[in-house]
Amino acid sequence: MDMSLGVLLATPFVGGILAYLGGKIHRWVRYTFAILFSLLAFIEIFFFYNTTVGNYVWGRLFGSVLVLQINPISWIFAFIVTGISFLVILFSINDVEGHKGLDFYYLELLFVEGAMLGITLAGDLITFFMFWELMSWTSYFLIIQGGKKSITAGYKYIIMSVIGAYSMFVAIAMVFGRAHSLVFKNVSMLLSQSSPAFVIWFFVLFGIGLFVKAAVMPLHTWLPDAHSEAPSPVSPLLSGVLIKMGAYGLTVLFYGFLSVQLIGKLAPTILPTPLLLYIVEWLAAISIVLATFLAILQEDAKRLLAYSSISQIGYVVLGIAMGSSLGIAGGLFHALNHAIFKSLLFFVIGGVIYRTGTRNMSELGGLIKKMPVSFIGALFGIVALSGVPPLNGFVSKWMIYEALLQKKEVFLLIMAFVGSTGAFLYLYRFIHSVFLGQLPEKYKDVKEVPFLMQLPIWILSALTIVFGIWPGLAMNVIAQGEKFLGITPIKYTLYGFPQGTAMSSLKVINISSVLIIAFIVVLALYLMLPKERFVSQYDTYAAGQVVTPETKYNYSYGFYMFFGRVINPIFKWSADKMYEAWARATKVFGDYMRRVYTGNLETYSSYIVVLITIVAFVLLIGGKLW
Amino acid sequence: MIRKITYGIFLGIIVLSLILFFAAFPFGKNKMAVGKYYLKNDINQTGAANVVTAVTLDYRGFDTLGEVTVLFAAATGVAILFYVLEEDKKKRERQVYPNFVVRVGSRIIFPFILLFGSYIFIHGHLTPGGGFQGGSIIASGFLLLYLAYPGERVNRSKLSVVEGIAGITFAGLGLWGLFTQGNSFLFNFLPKGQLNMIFSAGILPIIYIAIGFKVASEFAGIVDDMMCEAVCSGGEK
Amino acid sequence: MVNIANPILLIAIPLLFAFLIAVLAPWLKKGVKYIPVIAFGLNLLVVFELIPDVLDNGIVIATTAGIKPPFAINVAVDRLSLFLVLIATLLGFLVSIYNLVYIKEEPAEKFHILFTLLVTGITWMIVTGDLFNMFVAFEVTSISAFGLVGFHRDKDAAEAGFKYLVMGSIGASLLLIGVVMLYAATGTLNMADIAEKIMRFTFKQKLLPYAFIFTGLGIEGALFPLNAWLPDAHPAAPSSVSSILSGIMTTAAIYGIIRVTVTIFNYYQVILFLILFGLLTLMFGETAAFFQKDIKRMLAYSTIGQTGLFFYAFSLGSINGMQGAFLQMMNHSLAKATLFLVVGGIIFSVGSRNIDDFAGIGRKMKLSAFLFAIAAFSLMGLPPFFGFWSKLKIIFATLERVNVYTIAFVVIVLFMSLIEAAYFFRVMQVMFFKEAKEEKEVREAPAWMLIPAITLVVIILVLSFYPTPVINFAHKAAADLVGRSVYINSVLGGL
Repeated sequence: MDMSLGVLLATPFVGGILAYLGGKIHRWVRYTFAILFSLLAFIEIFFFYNTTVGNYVWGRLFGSVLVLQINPISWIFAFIVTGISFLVILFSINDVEGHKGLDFYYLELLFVEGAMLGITLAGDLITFFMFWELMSWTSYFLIIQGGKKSITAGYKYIIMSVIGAYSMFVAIAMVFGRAHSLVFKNVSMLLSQSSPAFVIWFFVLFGIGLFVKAAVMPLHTWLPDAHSEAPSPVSPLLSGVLIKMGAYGLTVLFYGFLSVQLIGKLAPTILPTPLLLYIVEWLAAISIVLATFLAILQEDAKRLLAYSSISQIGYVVLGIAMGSSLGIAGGLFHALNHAIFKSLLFFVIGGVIYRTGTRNMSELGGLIKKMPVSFIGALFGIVALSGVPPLNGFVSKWMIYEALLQKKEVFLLIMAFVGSTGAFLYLYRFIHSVFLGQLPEKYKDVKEVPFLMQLPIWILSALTIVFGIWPGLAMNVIAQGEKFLGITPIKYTLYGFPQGTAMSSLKVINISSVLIIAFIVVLALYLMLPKERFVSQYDTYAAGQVVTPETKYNYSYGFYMFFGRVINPIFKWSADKMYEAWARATKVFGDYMRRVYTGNLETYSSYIVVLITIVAFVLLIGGKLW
Repeated sequence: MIRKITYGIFLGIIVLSLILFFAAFPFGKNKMAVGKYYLKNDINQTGAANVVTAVTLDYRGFDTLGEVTVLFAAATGVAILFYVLEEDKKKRERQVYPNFVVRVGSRIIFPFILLFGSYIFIHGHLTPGGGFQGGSIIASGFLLLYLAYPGERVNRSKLSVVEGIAGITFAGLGLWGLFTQGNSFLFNFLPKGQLNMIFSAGILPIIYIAIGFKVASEFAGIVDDMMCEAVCSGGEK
Repeated sequence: MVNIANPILLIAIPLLFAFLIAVLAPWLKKGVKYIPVIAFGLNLLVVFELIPDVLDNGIVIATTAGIKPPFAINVAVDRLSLFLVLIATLLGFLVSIYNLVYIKEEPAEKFHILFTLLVTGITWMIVTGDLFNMFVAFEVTSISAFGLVGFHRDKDAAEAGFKYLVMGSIGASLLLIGVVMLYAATGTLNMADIAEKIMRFTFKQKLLPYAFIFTGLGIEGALFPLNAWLPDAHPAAPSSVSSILSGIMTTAAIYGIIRVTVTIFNYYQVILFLILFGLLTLMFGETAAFFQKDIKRMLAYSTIGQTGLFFYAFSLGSINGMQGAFLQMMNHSLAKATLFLVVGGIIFSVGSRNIDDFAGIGRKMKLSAFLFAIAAFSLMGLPPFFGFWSKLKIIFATLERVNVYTIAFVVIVLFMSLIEAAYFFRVMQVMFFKEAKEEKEVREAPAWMLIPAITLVVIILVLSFYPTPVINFAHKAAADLVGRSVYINSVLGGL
């Protein structure tokens, strides 16, 4: 049993190398290996369903053991990683066909998967950090394959990731200096005995690293660029999976290393949650609201989805940071759900880009007839994302709202609502501009995406329903996970939540039934009522003017301009601008610093003379150095 | 001016601190444990009449190998820096002939310089002087010839061969000692002989002769390189 | 049976062969280039013979002239020296293979002589047990380096060579003054003997000689503010020489400082100042590297930064810190040598040193670009490469005690590695993902230039995935160094 964790972790790496080498023989060898091994990893995951395997030692370093483990919490994330990666590889086959350097692309893809799997399976901080860094640079090479702009985006991504990782590194090294062992259990033991100041330092430094990856504001600035500029199949991986690693890390940090009681002891507070967690909640809530606003203003479909990811990961972090059983369950469930529907949406828009070559929403429209499958996928995606029953997003958001209500954190609740309502705005915009409205002339001959690209859309659409109607499927693992973390596990049934608990108000089966009945009623009415009459678009009165294709009405540009005027002042000071200013300041400072290398030999020699003079002088005045 | 004064003060501080340092350790008084050992054991350990030679070639012979190497590296480095490609070589436009006295005088003096230099390095283990000094003297003879006959050149290949063989002799003797006797590099494996005789002190005279040849050929080579830079490449640039 | 596990052979063999080049050059103009390969191949054999001895006994000592150490010069290889000698010999061997095709300019045979002497000098500096002998080795090294830096004989090379000559000579003089001061004070030149005799000296008495020796070695060891010659000299030299200069020569000089500081002076009072030197070197090196357009100049500045990093780690003074320093030394030597070799090949093909001209190299010179990437990753300390483990160790060692200073140190170190990552990623972006402006015929470097780099990368990869033996070895080396008694007692009491 122990060894199998190593096998699981090795699967994607081996697959990546084989795919790379196989690609030299024939492209189908490459695809076979890539698909096979990513599928294999996904299947292997199920052998660990609801099991806790601790301490598979895979190495020793600096007197600390390197350990792999799996528990229900990491299982959820490992499930997301392997599942979405598999779909991404399926999707890639058609999408990036014909690009240069495909062998390398699949190698990186599987390495990113392996690295993320490694993060979830890590049982000690060195392993964790190692895979964390590995994930950063391998995904960087994926991102910058998306064309010219992606190079800048990737550069920003890698720099911010490295900053975050180094902050985490300091935290890890601090622990190592005291514990000399970095196995999770020892870390939590050490932290429970340490002084509050030490724990707060650890919390903050480790947290920054996670926040960068989870794109919690104000550390989110890499995300909109990176996610939108990355190649189409990579975006689902980034948005769906990679930022979840931050959420996983936060879960481990809050409840694996620390605990609600311990965090509560760090700083006295009268708030419903411990102070540090409360701050995290607020950051998450701010992310929700601001990112939603920003998403509303986007013209670029992928950028819109990227901002939406920031906002949604805000829900995840908000839930996790709440500290209550319900909140954590909601957060984790939302992480799973977000992985499903956000990947779905990115696959859809990836398909649209594949066929039309643009992701500018004002240039698109009316694709519903041409790409019905994609439209259905998009529909499921936005319904799930905006939290409308009966799809999965509804349940998890509801849980988060309920948890906030329980804690009486009204402000946060309002902000969460705002984010959800805002989501309607931008999602409506998304589906309208891309699929509804007028079909531009140039896309007359657009076809539906090929089968391999449809497959992920079908699978994920089905999953939004499955987890929407049977949330108990996910709750099963989440409850186990909460038990593992030492939190009262949430009570659940297959269709929702049992009587007598806070969530009993939510009866998914009833809601779903009502909705299905309503749907049938509407459908019946639609079928019974008189049929609509189709008229040509040119059959219209235009005050004597001839209607040409160019004058077809198109409202897609500046869709929410009025709204933008209201909220734009908020974004006068953006975090991004601030970082850029810092970067410039550092650069200027560095430029001054390097001036010491003047190129003048006399100056150089004088450095030496001055150095020795200082020592001699110190000696003459009595040898006192300090 | 201010800069000069500043650095003057700086150097003053350094020198002062150096003086104070050395003042604390009076020269040669009771400190030179190693030196005393050399004076006491020189004769029976090395058989060289000249203690300085015993130290430089025997006790610290490894250093001398290093010094020879430094000189070798320097000569090679000069050869690289002053190297003139064959196609760049030109006939010198303005030939300056030194006067008759210099030309004839140098011819007369040259054998004597060679002889003197050879004497110095052959007797290195007996009298003051040695390979370095003798070699330099011989090289000065070559310098004299160059001054007298700027157009002529020595055969560089032969110099290089002499240089190399001398070096191989030194290192090879050391290795011979290492592999056959004593398991120590530069082990003095030849008989010590009788003090003050020319065939004494084991391998030391051989090494000094090698060094003499080496130094002479290297210095001659350096002189030749510099002359060639001035002469072959068409005078001043 | 001849015992070849004798460290003196490491010096004697290549010297013999260097002289042999001079002898054979007139007749075998084309053939002499193989002599350095043979010489360092033999050296490598000797090092491998030495490894078990050193592992068993901790130190191997060889005398000269058959006389006991304090009176004659001795050569001592303990774990730390073995560590560096192994790298130096390996690099010497591989780079001399590289030189077979790389050096086409005349006078090639002189180049091979100086190259052999350079590597020999470096080895000599590392193995010697005598302070004055170290000075001699230092001279051998730097004088051959002067000639090699000026090998191209163009304006750049001449200027760089001259700067290096002046600075290097100042350094040598300072080192000599320092050695003289120690001789005046103790009456001996043997390192172990000095170490024993200097124990009764006060802090004040030790300071001045230390400062001179430190400064002298520091000039060669690229410590700020003494390193100003380096950014000119390393790029101006032929790439194969740069890889030796950057890869092992600065490291050897730092080794000298380590030996002097710990073994001879046992000087823990100055350690805080050494940290200052390390950090400043790191900061100035990395920031300056960030602004370079010329790839070799960038790598040269990066060498300064890396030197600062491992010097900083050493000056933490703890066994763990030194362990980290040794690992980082090894990582830097292997990776930087690879980088220079690969870049040499790329410049060979592209004909420019400007980073912007490297666009599209990733497609046209796949292997070179790949080797560059691996070496750069290791240098940056990205997992799972070897540099990651050494950086991990350095940071862990720093934060053994958490206080304001150590936190500040860590912030500086990490910020500088961030900058390092930033400029290396920039180069890689250009190489892999930027399209070339004009289509030029660019061919892969010749096989003989790739083989050394491939070998180095394979070593890096092996170390990356199986670092434990080296890590343990570095730990023992650090413990021996800090313990001092192994070295001093075996030199003075042994044999």
